[in-house]
Amino acid sequence: MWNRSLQIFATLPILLIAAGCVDVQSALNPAGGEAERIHTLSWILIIFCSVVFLGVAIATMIALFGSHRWRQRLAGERLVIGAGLIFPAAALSALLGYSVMIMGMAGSAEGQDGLRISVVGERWWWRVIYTARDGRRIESANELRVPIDQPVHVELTSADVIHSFWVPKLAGKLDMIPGRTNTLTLNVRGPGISRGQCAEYCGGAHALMSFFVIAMPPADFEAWLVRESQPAAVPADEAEIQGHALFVRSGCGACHTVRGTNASGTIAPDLTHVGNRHSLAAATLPNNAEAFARWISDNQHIKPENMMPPYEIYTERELAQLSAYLESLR
Amino acid sequence: MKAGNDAGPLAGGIFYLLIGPVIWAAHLLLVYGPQSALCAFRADGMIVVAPFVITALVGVLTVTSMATLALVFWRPRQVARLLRFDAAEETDRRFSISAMRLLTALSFAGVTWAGAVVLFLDPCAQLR
Amino acid sequence: MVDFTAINPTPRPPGELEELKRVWATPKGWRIVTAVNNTVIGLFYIGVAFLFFLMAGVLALLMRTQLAVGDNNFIGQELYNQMFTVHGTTMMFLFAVPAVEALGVMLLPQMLAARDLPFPRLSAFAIWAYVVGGLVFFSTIFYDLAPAGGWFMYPPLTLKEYSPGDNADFWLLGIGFIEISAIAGAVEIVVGTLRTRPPGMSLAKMPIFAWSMLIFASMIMFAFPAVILATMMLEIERSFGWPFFTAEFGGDSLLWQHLFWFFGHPEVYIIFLPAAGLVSMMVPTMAQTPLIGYRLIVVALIATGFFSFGLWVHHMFTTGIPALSLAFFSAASMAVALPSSIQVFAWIATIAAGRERFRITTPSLFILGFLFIFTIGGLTGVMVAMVPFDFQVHDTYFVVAHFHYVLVGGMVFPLFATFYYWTPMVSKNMLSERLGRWVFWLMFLGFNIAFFPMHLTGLLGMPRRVWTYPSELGWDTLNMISTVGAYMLGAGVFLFVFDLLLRFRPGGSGPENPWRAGTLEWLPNDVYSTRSIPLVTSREPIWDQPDLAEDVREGRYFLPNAPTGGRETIVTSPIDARPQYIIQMPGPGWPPLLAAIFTAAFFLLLTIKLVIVAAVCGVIAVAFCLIWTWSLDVGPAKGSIDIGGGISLPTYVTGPTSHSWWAMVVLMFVAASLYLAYVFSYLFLWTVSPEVWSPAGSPALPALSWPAASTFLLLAGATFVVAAGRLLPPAGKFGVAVPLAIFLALACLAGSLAIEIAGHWRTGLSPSANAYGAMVYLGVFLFGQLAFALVIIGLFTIARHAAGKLDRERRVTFDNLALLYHYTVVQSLLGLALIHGFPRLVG
Repeated sequence: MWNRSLQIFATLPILLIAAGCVDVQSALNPAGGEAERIHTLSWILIIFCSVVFLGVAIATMIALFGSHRWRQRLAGERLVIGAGLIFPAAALSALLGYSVMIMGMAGSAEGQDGLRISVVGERWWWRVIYTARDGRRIESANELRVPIDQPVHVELTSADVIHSFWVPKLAGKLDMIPGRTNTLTLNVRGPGISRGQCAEYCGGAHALMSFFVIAMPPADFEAWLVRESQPAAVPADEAEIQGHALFVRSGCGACHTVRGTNASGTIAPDLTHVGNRHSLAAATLPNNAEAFARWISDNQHIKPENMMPPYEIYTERELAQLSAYLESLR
Repeated sequence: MKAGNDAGPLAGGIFYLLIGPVIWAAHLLLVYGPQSALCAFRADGMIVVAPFVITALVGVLTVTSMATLALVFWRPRQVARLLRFDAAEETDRRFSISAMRLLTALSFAGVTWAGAVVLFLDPCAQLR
Repeated sequence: MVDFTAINPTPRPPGELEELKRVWATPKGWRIVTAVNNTVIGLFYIGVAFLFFLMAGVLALLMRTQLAVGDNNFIGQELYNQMFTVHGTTMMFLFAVPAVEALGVMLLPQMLAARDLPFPRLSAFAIWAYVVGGLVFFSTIFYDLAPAGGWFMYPPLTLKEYSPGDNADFWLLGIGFIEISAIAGAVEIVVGTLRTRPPGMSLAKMPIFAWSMLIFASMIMFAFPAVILATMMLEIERSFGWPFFTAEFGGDSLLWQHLFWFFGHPEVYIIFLPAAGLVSMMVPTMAQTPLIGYRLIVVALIATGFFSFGLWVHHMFTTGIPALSLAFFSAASMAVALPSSIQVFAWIATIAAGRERFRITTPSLFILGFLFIFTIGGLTGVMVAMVPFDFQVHDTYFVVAHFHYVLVGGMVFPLFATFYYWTPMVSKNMLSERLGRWVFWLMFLGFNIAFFPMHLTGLLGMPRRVWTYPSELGWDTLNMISTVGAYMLGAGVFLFVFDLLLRFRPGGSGPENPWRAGTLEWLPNDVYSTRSIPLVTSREPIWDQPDLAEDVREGRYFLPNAPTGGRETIVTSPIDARPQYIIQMPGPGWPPLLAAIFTAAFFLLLTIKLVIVAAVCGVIAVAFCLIWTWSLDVGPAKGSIDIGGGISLPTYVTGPTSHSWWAMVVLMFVAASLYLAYVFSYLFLWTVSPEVWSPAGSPALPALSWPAASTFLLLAGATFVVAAGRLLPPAGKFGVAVPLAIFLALACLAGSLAIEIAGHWRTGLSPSANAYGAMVYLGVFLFGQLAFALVIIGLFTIARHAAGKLDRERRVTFDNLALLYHYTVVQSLLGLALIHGFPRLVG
C-alpha cells in the first residue's frame, strides 16, 4: 500500500511531462465531469459560429463583388428577415436548449453523496481542509488530492476578497465569495495532475495564485489521507534538527502550523506535510530545498505583496538547514 | 406644414411603440425576482416553498405574457386607440404599427426563451 | 406635395447674413474656451476623448510588452495592476462613452439642421468637467496613485481594508465626472433629438444616427443611476464604514456586482448603438441608395436598448447563484443577439442594393472591417452567453478577445470611418485616402493578429488580469503573436495621427458633400449651421430635392435670420415635428467653464481629504451655476416671430411644451431610476441578511407618529408650492405671498427630513452597525440630497421674483422648482412607506 502510493509520487513528475505539461491547465484537454460536458458544447459552438461567420462573409462578398443578378437577390428586406431574424431565432433556440440541458445534467450526473473538501480562498493562496475518517479536520494548502471516478464536492469560501476556483481540465470556474458557500462537484476520470488558478482578480499577486489537483485511485487516496492526517515527521539528521530549532526560534510558528510541534499559527499555510506537495507558494515554485531557501529570503521578489515578510537575516548555512527541515516534512 | 402640437399624446406614442419590450421586461423582473428571492429564503430556511411552486409561477407568468404579446400583435389598431396613439401622416402611422409589431415579435421570442428554460432546470439548485 | 420655393421670398434683405454671422461668431483667441456652440466644443470634446484613447492605448502596448513572453519582469506587478485598471477605466469611461457623446454633440444638430443643441452651456459645463477630471484621473498612473482594483472595482477588494490609500478613491472620482457629463449629455441629446428637429422630420423620417443617439441617451438615463448609487455606496463605505458590501455585517459584495453590471452591460450597448447608427448613415452613402430596412434597424436599435438591461447577470454566471436564474439571463442574451444580426444583414442588403457598386473608400474599408470584426465578436458573444461555456471562459483571455472584438470592432472601427467620413464637414482638407488605406490595413490586420489568438489562449487556460504567467504552460507563442499584432495596431493609429496633424484644419468646411450623401449635415453650413432650416419631407432630403442646398443657402426656408438678435433655433413637436416655438439660447460665457473647473476641484480636493478647501470650491461652483442660470428664463419680451411660410411662433413658452420642462422631466427619470436602484438594494440585502433587519436584528422602528409627521409636512409643503404657483402676480408686481409660500415649503421639507433623521437616531440605530442601518440612513441621505438642491433652487426662485424676473408669465424657473418639489414629495413618501412599512410587514 505504502509502496504503491510512493510509486505514484515518484511517477508524478514523469506523468506531468508525458501528459505534455502544456495541457495541464487547458479547457481543451478535459479530464472529467463538467469539463467534458462543456468540451463537447465548446466544439459545437465553435463549429456553429465558424459556419455562420463564413455565411456572413460570403454574403458580404456577393454584395460587394457579385454579379448584378446575385446582388439583386440579397438586396431586400427578405434577406434581413430571413437571415437576420428567422435563422438566428431558430439556431439560437437549439443552442440554448442544448446548453440548458447540459446545465440540468449536472444535477443528475453527480449526486450529493461523496467526499467533501473545503477550499478557502486567501490572499494569495488556497487553504484546503479535508475531513479524516475519524472526523478530524486536516489542513493542507495549495494542492487538492481527490479520488478518481467519484463525485468530490468542493466547498468554496473566501477569507478576504473574492477569488474564483478554476481547474480548466476538471470543471468550469466557481467564485469564492465572502459570506457565501459555493459547492463545486468534481469527478475526475483517471489518475493525473491538473493545474488550477484563481480566475477572479483578487488584487496584488492574483497572477501567482495557482494550485494543483492530483487525482489518484480511491485506495491510494485513502492511504494518502491517512498519512496526511498524521503529525509531522520528526527531524532526523543534524541539518533538519538545526533547521527545526531555527524554525522555532524565528517564530515561524506564529503564522504556520506544523502539527505535532508547537507551531500552531493559522494565518499562513499549514506546513505539516509541505515536503510532499507538488509545488511551493501556490504553484509558483517547484518543491525543493533550493526553492525553500529562495522563498524564505526573497519571497517579495518571487511573489510581490504576499503576506510573508522576507527573512534576509539568515546565513547560507541557516537557510540550508531550514530548507532541509521543511523538505523533510513529508 | 402648420405650427402646433402632435396628433396624439407623446406618452401614449412612446408606450405604444414600446409595449412589447415593456412586457418582456416585466416578465423578466417578475420571474427572476420572486424566483431568486424564494430560493434565497429556502436556503435560509425562512420561507420554504416547494420547488414546483416556483416552476408553476414562472410557467403561469410566461404563458400570460406570451398571450398578451400575441394579442397586441394581432390587434395593433385597437391598442393604438386604447393608448390614444395617432400620427399626422398615414406613412408615419404605418411605420409605428409595423415597428411596434416587430418589437412585440422580438419580445415574444425573449419571453418564450426565458420561460422555456424552467422546463429543464430545478428551480433553486446551483447545479455545479 | 409641398411647394418648396414659396416658404420665403428671395433675395433676402441685406445685412441678414451678417447679423447671423455676428450672433453665432466663435470667440477669438484664448477666449475660445468660453465658446458653447456645438461645432466648437463638440470638436474639442472628440479631440480630448481621442487623446484618452491614445494614452490608454499606450498603456495597452506596455502591458502587451510585459506579456510577450512568460516569466517576464518588464513591468512589475503593482504597476501592471494599476495599468490594466486605468486602461479599462479610461477606455470605457473617458474614451468610449465621451467619444460617442461628443459625436452626438457634434453631428446631431447638423443632421437635424438645428442651430445648436438646446442647452449649449450645459454641454460646455459637462465637457470641461470631464476634461479636467479625466486628465487628473489619468495622471495618477504617473504618481503610483492609480487605482488597482480593475475597472469593475469589485468590493471587498476595493474596500478600505484591502485597498488602503487614496488610489481607489481616484477611480470613484474619475467615474464621478463621467457620470455628471453623461447625464448632462443625456438631457441634452434627448431634448435635442425630440424637440429641435426641422419642421416635417417626423420620427419616422429621422436619420438613424438620431434614433441611435435618442436610445443611447435614454439608456444612460436608466443605466447610469445604478452605478451612481453603487459608487456612492462604495465611497460611503470606504470613508464612513457603512457596511453595504461587508458580509460580516449583513452586507453583500454581490450587491455591487448587480448594480455595477446593471449599468455595465447596457454600457457596452451605449457605446455600440451610436456607432451602429453611424454605420447606418455611411453605408447608404457609399452604396448611393437608401438604407434597406430602415424600419427594421429602428426596431433593432430599440430592442437592443431594452434587452441590454436584461443581461446584467450574465457577468455573474460563475457566482454560484441558482442555475435557473442564470438560464433566464442566458435566454435574454439570445434575445439581444437578434437585433444585432438584423442590423448586420440590413447593411449587407444595402450594400447589395446599391445603384452602383459599393464605393471602396477609406470609410468603406473601416465599415467592412467593422462588419468582419463585429460579426466575430457577436458570435463569440453567443458562445459566452451559453452558461456552461462561460463557466470555462469567464475571466479568461477568451473573454478579453470577445469584448475587444465587440468594442474595437463595434465602436473603434466605425469611429475611424466617422473620422474619415465627416472630416470635410469641419476641416478645410479631407484626410488622405492613400494614407487611409495604410491606416486601415495596419489597424485591421494588427487587431486580428493581436486579438484572434487570445480566444485560444483563453481556452488553453490563461486567466485575464494576470501580470505574468509561467512559461511552461504553452501560452508563450500565442502571447508573442498578440504582442506583435498590438504593435501593428498601434502603428496604424500612429499613422492616422500623423495624417491628422498633416491635413486636419478645423474652422470652416472643406469640399461640399464630397461623398454625395443624402442627409442634412451635408447642406452648406457655417458657424450658424445652415442658413435656413429646411422643411423635411423624406429621409434623404438632399437626394430627393435636388435644389435643397441652393434653397437653404439662399434662405428660402425657415428662420433665415436672427430675428431676436440672439442665438435661436426652432423647437418642434416630438413626434410629427410641427413647429412650436423659437428657443432663445445663450451665447459664449465664462460661467460654465468656471463652474466646471471648480466642480472638478471640489471632487479632487475631497478625494485627497482637503475637506474645507473642497467645500469652498463647491460653493464657488454652485455660485457660477447660479450666475449662469440667472441669465436664462428670458421671458416673453420678444413676442412672436415670423419664421417664413406664413408661420409665426412665440419666442417664449412655459409649461409642458417648454424645453426646460422636458429637461426637468429627464432629470426626474434619472432621479427615479437612482431611487429604484436604492429600493432594489434595500430589498436585495434583506433577502441576503434578513437577520440584521429590524425588529429582530436592529432596534425597533420609531413609532408610527414619526413617519406620520414627516408625511404631513411633505404634503403641507406640496400644498405651499401649489399655492405659490397660484399666487404668482402679473409682470412687474411683487407679492410677498410667493416668497413666503416657497419659504414655508422649504421649511416643511427641512422639517420632514429632520424628523426622519431624529426618529431613527433616537432608536439607537447606527448606520455603521449593519447593512440594515446603512440602508436606512442611505435612504435619508438620498432624500437629503434632493432637499439640498431644492433649498438652493427655492432661494434662487425667491431671488428672481424679488428681482422682477419671475411672474405669472415668466415662470420657467418656478415651474422647475415645482416639478422637482413634487417629485421629491412622491419619492420621499415612497421612501417612508418602504423604510417604516416594510420591516413591519415582514417582521
